Amino acid sequence: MSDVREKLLGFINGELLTDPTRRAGVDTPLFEDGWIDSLKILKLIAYVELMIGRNIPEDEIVMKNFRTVATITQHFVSK
Amino acid sequence: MTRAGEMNVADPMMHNPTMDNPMARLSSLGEWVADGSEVVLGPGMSALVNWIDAKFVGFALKAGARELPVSPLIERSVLERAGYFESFPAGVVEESDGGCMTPATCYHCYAKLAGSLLPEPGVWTCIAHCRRNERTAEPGRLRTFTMREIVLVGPAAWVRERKQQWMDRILAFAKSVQLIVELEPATDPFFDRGEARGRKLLQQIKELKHELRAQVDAKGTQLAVSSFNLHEAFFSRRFGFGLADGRDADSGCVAFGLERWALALALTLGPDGAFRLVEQEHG
Repeated sequence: MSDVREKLLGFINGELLTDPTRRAGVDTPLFEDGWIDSLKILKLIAYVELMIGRNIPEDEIVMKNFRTVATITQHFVSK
Repeated sequence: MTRAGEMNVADPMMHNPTMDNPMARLSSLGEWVADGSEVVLGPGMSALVNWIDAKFVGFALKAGARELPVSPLIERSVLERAGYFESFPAGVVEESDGGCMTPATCYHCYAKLAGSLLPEPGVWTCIAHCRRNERTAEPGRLRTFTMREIVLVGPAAWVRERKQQWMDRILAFAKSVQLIVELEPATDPFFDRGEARGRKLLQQIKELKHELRAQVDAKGTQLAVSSFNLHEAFFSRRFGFGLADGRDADSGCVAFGLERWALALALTLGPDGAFRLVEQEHG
């Protein structure tokens, strides 16, 4: 689980942040303070799908599952 | 214990004899005369619409809103600039002179802000008779309806915070008039198709839209009465307005479908119970 978190954080910090001088942590709210813009959110969804090896149904693409790196790994990886 | 004829405040649905067929009762009273998705209101429902609207105007003015008079007609170019045809191409009712019936009230506000730089965040409120090509006969989904809106323009965090405050305020108001309501994240149904699907997913994942839905019968049928929307910088970029300090202006709006609010009240409290709200205030 911690490997997955690190990998996801690495992707977010390396590829997705609107402001590259910031660093997201596992509990950073990814959408609430403009950390990631809309186009990059679609990239994040695609990356998580690649990571877990399945398409994510639309009803799971909701804020409570994607709010932070911790909630993403909790919902999609620990299942 | 509830006495016969007395409303049970905790659960009005359980003690409301008009719930058996309240739509038929409203119709027989001449208060909700529907022809497909067009409706004519009787004097009681009209007074109820005005009463509800006065509540929302009161909330808006208390929150520092400025009233903005708007027309039920809107230039086609404004809707094009707002991207309305990209999302909902069949929804607009066009007039023979090339203008359109406004499908939502808040577009007028963005058009008026075009080209301006706001020295501070702003709140506006406006009301308009709107018209859309609705194709369903679901009660409450009308082709012509009255929409009160509160428009919020400012920095992103300010708009998001105000949206939350409005959700709290209107949820409390709905409960105070005994509506049985839920406030849930929502998406616009016209984002279901094609390229718009990406917008729907973003709306969903970022919780840009919430809907307040009222339960209007004992089976649990819901009627969306208000929506709370964040547009991020979409409209400020489309219409070219911003903040004087150089930052992007985000916008948001709170929309009230006034006939829907009146219908939800009449179906929940019964027509007499709903009309009594108006009488009590004026009596």
